[in-house]
Amino acid sequence: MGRQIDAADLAEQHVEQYLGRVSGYLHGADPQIVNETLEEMRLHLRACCEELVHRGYSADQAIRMSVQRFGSSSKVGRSLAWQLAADSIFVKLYCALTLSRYVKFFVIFWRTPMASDSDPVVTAAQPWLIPALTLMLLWQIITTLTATRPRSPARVQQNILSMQRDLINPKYLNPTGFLRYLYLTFLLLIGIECLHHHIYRLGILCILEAIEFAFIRTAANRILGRVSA
Amino acid sequence: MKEQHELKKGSTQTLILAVLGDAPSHGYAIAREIERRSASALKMGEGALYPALRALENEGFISSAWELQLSGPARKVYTLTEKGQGELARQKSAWQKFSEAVNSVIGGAPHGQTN
Repeated sequence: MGRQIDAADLAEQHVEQYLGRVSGYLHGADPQIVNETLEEMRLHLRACCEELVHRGYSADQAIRMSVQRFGSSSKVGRSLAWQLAADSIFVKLYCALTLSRYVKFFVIFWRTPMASDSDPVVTAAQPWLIPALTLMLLWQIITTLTATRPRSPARVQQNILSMQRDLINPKYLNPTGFLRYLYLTFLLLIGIECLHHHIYRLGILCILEAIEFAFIRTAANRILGRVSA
Repeated sequence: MKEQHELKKGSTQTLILAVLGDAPSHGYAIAREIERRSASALKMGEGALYPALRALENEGFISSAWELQLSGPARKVYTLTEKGQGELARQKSAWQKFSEAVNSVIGGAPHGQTN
């Protein structure tokens, strides 16, 4: 009897560990839907174990076979994330893009021979600008890391609404077609040229600008599509 | 390779719709029914069933409700909607055309040879 209980506990433990790994991918999804989905999967795994035990397998074998049949937790988790937490993926993308913008400003105002020699305003502003930008950069890193915490789905929705407000701003509506590709090519060529001549900061700035320009429109469209839907 | 992956994903949804086309069912029973009907030839990762079910539900092809069972715990039972019936018919027709095309290439005579 004791051994049966141990086996049942072990099975339960294995199932919970597996579901825990899956739920790790579902940050930012509605907790009720996540709980329902995990409960369905729990029932599925238990039923599978019971069936295999009835067929003569040991409890330990049955657990391993059930989990194996279910497939890798990372694959299941990622697939579920696209269905249950797609918004949070775009929130993360948006936050990462905003972070890249802060990094860009940080790079511009960082003390470089080019900036301090040629621009007295930038040189005068550096003592307070750099600490302020550093704080903003740290704040944005924290926001990016915490934007889709599992316990704050309301926060995710709030983030989406704030992005919607931001994205109405016409500065995000970049030109399309030939001009878009021309601008991207220009930025990348300048960036590569700067890196080639060891002007690393300006080179990184140009490449960050190109990445931001290329992806922000896609991210904005996806977020706006999600919000309006 | 990408096309193969997409085909597999699409196939899972078609198989689910086909099973639910006969009767409402829950996740575990759907997996077993696919295995039974294919004589164990189609053994997908059963975990893939749930993202596919969520996708079908989001599209409005199936609906779900928790139902008490005569024995055992409550189960989430999925039912094909009217929209889903239309989608099933469309996917069946598309699959038939695809398999006929593949069969005609595999089973057809080499180019330039006629019987």
